Amino acid sequence: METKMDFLDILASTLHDMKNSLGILFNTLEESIEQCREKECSSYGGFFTLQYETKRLNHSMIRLLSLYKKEKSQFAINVDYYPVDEIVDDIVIQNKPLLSSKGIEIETDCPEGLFWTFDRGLVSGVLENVLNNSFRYTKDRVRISADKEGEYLFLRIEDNGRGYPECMLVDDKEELSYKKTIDFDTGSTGLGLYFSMLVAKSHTNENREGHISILNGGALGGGAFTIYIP
Amino acid sequence: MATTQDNTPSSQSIPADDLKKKKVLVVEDFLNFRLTLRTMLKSYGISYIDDAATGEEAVQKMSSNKYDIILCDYNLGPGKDGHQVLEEARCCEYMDHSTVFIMVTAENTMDMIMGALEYQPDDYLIKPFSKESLEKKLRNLSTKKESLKAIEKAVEKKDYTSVIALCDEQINSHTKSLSDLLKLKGEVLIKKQAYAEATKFYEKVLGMGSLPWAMFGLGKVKFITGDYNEAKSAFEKIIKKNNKIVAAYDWLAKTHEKMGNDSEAQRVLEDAVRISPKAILRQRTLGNIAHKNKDNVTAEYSFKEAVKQGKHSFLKSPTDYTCLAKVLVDKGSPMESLDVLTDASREFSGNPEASIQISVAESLALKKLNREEDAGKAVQKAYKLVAALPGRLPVDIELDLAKALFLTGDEKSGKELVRHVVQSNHDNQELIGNVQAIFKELNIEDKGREIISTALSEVIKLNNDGIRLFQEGNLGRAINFFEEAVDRLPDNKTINANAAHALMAYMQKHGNQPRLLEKALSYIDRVRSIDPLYKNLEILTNMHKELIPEASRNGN
Repeated sequence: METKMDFLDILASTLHDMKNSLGILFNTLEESIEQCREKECSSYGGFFTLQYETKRLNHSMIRLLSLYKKEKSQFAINVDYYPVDEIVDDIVIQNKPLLSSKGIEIETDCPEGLFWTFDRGLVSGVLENVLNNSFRYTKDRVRISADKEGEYLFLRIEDNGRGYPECMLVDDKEELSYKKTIDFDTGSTGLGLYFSMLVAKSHTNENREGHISILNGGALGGGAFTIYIP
Repeated sequence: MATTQDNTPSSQSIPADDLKKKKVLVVEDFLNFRLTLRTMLKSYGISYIDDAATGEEAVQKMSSNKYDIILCDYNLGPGKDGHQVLEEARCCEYMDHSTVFIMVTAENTMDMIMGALEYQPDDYLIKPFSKESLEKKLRNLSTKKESLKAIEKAVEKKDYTSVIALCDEQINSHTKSLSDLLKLKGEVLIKKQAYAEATKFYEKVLGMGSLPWAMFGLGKVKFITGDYNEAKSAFEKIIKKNNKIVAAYDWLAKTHEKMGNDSEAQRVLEDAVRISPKAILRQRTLGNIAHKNKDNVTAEYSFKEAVKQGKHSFLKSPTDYTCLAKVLVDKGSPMESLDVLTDASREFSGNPEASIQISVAESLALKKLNREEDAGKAVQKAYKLVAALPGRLPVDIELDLAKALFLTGDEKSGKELVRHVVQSNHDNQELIGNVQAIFKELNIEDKGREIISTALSEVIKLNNDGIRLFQEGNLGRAINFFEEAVDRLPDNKTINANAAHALMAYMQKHGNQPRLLEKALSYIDRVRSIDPLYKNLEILTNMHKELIPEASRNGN
């Protein structure tokens, strides 16, 4: 029987394979960094750049796989009721070593005992992604905050960098098409933005839908990314 | 305030030393990553680390060692996957509620959760993860398990009232385990048969967000209480929101079946199998319903899948072979059917229950080949095996055998078997209906109706005679009467329940006796094992609990 190979399927399975290699790379790097720290060797700083880029690659692949699933109508969210501060803490723990290596301070503000219904993996993915951007663009501070606002939970990442370029700003209510944000000159594919919107929109409660906002200013005077979940 | 005791479950992590003592199993097919995980675990001071490269090896190790923590990769190559490892470990009780099971995966968790509403790991870890994340996760989960210890103990003792009190206490104290506690409370309310309360509870939880597990719980309650329309709408809502949650399909199919809509049930199961084909139980259910719908093509395919998938699974069952054999007979391929049964005999040699099923199926194939004498011999072989069996057979097998006995002309034995089945299950309308259907199929509907009604009136009279003695206050005689009745019909839940009731009423009047208490409990336990949803189970359990002297109630 002649079966035509679907390019998307090939792409997805290759991505899986690449992700596995990347996982090994990431963890081997972790070990090397650890040994390097103990021996106080000079390449210590350079390793973090490697790790940063590995993470960036990994996030891109997760996004691509999610979009593949969306394309194949296989994208679905899996929600449960989570303590919000635990998610925030997890993200800090994952990213602190990298941020500290560049002298970036990370602070959090999240009330204890706040629970919300959402897909933990997807929302963490969005935040990690934004945080990775902050690593590149902030001066020396990042702030993660979360709380209830009206009937929504918001999770916000702010920095004290120069802020987002005008063309990337997204207002709360504004409907944005993803194509508009592709900018081949700057290398920004807008995929990150599209992924964030996809995740936000997939969270629904009664008639309310999640959304995001990207603004400048905020508590630290730089960029401020917020995801709202109903 | 030196005397203040802190009883609230601590939200802090356990001290570093405690993690060191944990026994860990790493399940990962990729050598490099296995070593990485080992290095990470060692850096937390853990020294007891085992590993397994395949799901089979993992299950084998878990069956002989008790681990505190299991780190299991989802994708384990050609054999069992991570979810099958978890399923088997839970089913076979290779791990208890204190074991931490973490599923490790290379991507978003959704793929794995598809069929897993009922068997979920404690947490997921997405590769790559840092040493710090794993450590924090292990500490948090160990702390959580520690704080749930008292509750799990009460669950094991089936002391549901205490479980709910303990859950409520912890739910009100700011705990990170809120979601687990809510899930547990719902499940226990169902086990306790407090359906009205369970409905209210799930509706309240759903007010906090549209959580699939809460909608699932609500659907289950509606199903159990016979409110099939509501159950259907609950399961459909879950699927509408997330069409990957296959457990909802399974229950939706069950609901359709109860509503008499077998073709719709089959359609739903076909959808589920398409999403998650690697599931023996689902293939088996689909095979049965398709056979019932006379869709032999689907039935054959599903049972063949069940047989194939069962080869390496603990869920392997002779019934899949015999069902496949029966479908093949109906399809007009009796020779192929006999081949399947030869396979089955080889796979299940030394298993008398399997031999009975195989012989019964064999007789059907032989009859189709017009080998009447051989068919008769096969049935008689099965019937003799039944007599030699120490316990009773599952009802389905008994009925299959009874049908084959009638088919091969041994009406006397067939009638005796049917009588026993009917009397053991006299209050199970659905089963009596199935018996009637068999007689209809055999074209002896009138005779069948008479056999059933005679059997029923005998058992009803037996039960009523006992109840009369009870009501007349003749408790001693009522006890003797029901005990004899239980000896004759050990699988009849009503008679077991009444025997327990009589014993306990006697003790309420004359004081308790350890021997009688034990006996009453064994009857109650038997009712539970026959029908965990028996209507008076909770009342009987409480009655028994109140008879136990206060002093020894909390002791063990």
